[in-house]
Amino acid sequence: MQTAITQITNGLVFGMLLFLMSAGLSLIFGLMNVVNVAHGSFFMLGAFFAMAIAGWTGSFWLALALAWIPAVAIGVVMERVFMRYLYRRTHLDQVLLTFGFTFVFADAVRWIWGPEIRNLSVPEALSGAIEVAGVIVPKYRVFLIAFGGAIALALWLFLERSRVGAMVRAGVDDAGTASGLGINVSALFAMIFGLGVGLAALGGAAASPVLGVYGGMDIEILIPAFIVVVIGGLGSLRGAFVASLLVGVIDTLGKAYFPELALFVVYLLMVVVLLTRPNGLFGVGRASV
Amino acid sequence: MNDPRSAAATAPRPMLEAQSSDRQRAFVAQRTVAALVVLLLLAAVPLTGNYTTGLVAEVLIFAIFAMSLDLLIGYTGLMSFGHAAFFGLSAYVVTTLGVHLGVSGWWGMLAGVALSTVAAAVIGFFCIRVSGIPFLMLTMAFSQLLFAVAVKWRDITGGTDGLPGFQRPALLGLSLDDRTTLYYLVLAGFALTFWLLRRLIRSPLGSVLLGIRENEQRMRAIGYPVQRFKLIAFTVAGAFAGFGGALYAFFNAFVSSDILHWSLSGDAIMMVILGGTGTIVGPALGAGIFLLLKNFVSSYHEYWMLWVGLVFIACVMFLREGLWGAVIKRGPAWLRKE
Amino acid sequence: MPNDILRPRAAGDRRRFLSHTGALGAAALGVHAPAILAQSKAPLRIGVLNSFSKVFAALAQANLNGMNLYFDQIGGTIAGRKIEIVREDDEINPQVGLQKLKKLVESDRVDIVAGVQASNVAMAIVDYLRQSQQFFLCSGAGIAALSYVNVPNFFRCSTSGWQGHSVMGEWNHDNFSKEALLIASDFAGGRDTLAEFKNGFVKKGGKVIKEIYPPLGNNDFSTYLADIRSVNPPGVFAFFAGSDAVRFVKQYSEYGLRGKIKLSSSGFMVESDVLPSQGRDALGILSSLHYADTLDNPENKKFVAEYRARFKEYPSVYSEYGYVAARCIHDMLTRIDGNTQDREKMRAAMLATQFNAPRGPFRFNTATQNPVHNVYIREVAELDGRVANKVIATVRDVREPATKPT
Repeated sequence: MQTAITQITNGLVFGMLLFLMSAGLSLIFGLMNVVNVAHGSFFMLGAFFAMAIAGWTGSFWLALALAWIPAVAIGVVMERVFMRYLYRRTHLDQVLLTFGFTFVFADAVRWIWGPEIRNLSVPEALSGAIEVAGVIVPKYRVFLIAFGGAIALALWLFLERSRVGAMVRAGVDDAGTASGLGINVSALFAMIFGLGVGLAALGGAAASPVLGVYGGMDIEILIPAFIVVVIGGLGSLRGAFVASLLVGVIDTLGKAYFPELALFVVYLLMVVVLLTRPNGLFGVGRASV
Repeated sequence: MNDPRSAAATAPRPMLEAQSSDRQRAFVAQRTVAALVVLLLLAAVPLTGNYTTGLVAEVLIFAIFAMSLDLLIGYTGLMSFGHAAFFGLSAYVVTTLGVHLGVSGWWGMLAGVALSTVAAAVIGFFCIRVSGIPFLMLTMAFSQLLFAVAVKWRDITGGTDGLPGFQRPALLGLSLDDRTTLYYLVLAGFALTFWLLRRLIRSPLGSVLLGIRENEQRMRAIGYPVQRFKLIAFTVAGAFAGFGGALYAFFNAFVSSDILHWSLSGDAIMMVILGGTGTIVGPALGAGIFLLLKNFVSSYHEYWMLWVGLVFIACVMFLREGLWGAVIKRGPAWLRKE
Repeated sequence: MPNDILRPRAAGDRRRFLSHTGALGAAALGVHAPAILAQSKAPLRIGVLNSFSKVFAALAQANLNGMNLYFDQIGGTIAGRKIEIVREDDEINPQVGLQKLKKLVESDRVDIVAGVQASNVAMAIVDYLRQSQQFFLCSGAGIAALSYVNVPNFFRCSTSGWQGHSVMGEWNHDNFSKEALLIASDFAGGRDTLAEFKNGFVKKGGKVIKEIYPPLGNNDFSTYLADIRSVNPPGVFAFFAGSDAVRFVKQYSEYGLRGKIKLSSSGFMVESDVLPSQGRDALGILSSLHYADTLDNPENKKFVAEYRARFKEYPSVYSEYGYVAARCIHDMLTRIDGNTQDREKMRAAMLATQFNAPRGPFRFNTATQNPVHNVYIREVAELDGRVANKVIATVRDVREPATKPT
């Protein structure tokens, strides 16, 4: 019983990590109907920028606070110069374009920072672990739970409760009418894309003490992120949140009780979900939270 | 004399009709000549040396792979991210049967293509239930499941290290270890695939597939069993991919789990896009461009992925119809199929 | 006078005759000289096939650095032939590796091929190497099977995993714990490592409590660490590579197991490519490897100093691979005056090669054409403010069995 509680707890903690990995992807798809395959690249950029900033300033917190800025800058440029022309085209073209960008970003990172494995250390204040009901949980992971929860809450407030959120949803639902009402749809899209990649970068920075900082992490997190978003339902942020926790728990329990199937479990889960509920668990189409 | 038929036969035909059918004949003749020239050039490749022969053979094998994928992407409108599953499965069947059971490569090839076809039918059956992004992810998931099997079933597949030791079969008394002989086998396979796919596209089935890509709802409304046709396309594409995979096993005399990884499916998609979807020549050209780009750039420049990525981005932005598509649009009229 | 006509040679004539003959002779030699000189002056082309992209990129680069360092130390020529390195990237993909190898052999026409860190690539190219008889010096892959491929021109100067891990298994039982829990990434390298460890460990009477194989690229080890905690073994032996190694070691410490449950590992898990990222979380881990950058011998001190001066970082075992490979090539070719046309001579010369390398005494096992060298037991400790591997025991002249162990 103790083991089960331990593993479920581990799963939930891992799930929060998955949420940080997938929130940005879900946001961009949910609000803009755009598939950003370069999502993993922005996650990786966030981790590298954080490592660089921490190296210069010696402060983890500064790194976490600032790492998203250069990533958002790159994202906005990408949106204005390239993505903007593809909104009218099919999903396929967006997938392809952003897929091409993953190659560029991967080599750019290697060019700038070299191929070695790097790392961002957990700040002193958060090192070590606490014991809760017989389960060991590292302090940093507790922080990640709080951090992830805060992000989820902030996103919800922004999208559901703010004027900007309403404008965004309007712009996505009917761009013509929205701009007729005076909403600058084009600027809005740039902002949303920036927000999405910023989330990815923030996730990368926050997760880097756990995952590490290295080339190749872009591809490694892309698949779990896509799986979470697809299972949760394309376009649903709530779905992404729930799916993250679900996938986290199932993956962890799978590793614990069916170790031989560890590689298969998550893919099987995705197959089952997609075949029974093709729109995911919470998917209702676009622009839903 | 008064027989209208004979009058019609001897009366001069309207000018336009005569011109257009003459033009059509000229176009066909030009296309045939072009095709023969290309075939001749390809047949002459072994004169350039062992190394380039091997390189072109590899391009032709991936051309088969890419052409089969285009049946899905360009003709039926199904974006599959799991096509490597059928390419790799067949390669594994050929290699494992040969290494573990001593089965001749020819029987292995038959088994490989058969198994890929069956796998495509089964996986396709499930995947076509969804479309768009879910379809993309589902095809990828199935392919990754196969990948996981290849990695874990180390006793049979060799796992991540792969399975060496495949003995190439003999071809009409000639050894396939001789690269030139192997090349001609691959060339024959490529020509066969090209010809078969062309016939398929020209057939009523091909028109249906194109119709599905253009407007699935309309096809359904007219009364076509769209799902059945999608499944047919998926299965046929899988069969051809399997053929390519078997040839690849012959070529390398080796197989490893990388052949089932989704990145190979991604490479194939790049080939199709670079060359041009919705044509038969396009993906073949794209395979050549992609592989040659990868090889030459990587020999001279450490950061070749960057350049391939940039070329690809430029292609998606500005040359969406692919290189061959652009050639057709802006080239001489006889290239366009009428 | 008639005699004057018959006596055209005067004093100056002899000089002229000699100079004419000399000119003729020089002309004759001159026609052949370029050919002879060309033969010994033809550049020595070395093909380096390694994984310069993807996860082994740093390792491959370190390898090449080590090689370049040695070649520069000897002045860039061997037996009068200028060294030219042609490098190719195998992308850790056997299919690509095979293709690039063909390019090096058939198109670039290199004299020797070296490199290959990735075991899957190494296994894939064996057949081609056997058929083409290309002279090959493996300076990376550690898969034990490579020692038994029986290809005459195939040599390995890195190590066989068997040497390090089997020795660790024996030492582990005698000095660490009599029972162990084993954990490694689920890929060929991981499974082979544990099998090799078990080979030595069980032979000495050790008992394996449990074996765990997390998937390759695993992000979260909490499941497995909780399992280890509940089993509470006297000792754990682990092997992970790359970012998995960093994550495992850090999480092992994060979850409170460091210091509570003794951890030992393959040397590769705590080498200089990952140790800086693991940092203090790795302190106390015992590992086995045929090299440590803290080794106290003159060759190594020189190697470390020069490597640091040039590349601004400490060398790793991978740098040493390249350095030793370069030295092997140098020694072999010097023995046969730079002749790369006669492969049998090359092979004999390579078999006879032995010297003091940074890792200690180095020579080839004639049965397997794999190195015979020391294996060191090291402990991760803080030395002069740097987290490094301190050598605490030495097992000398480890030689693998002549035939493949079951």
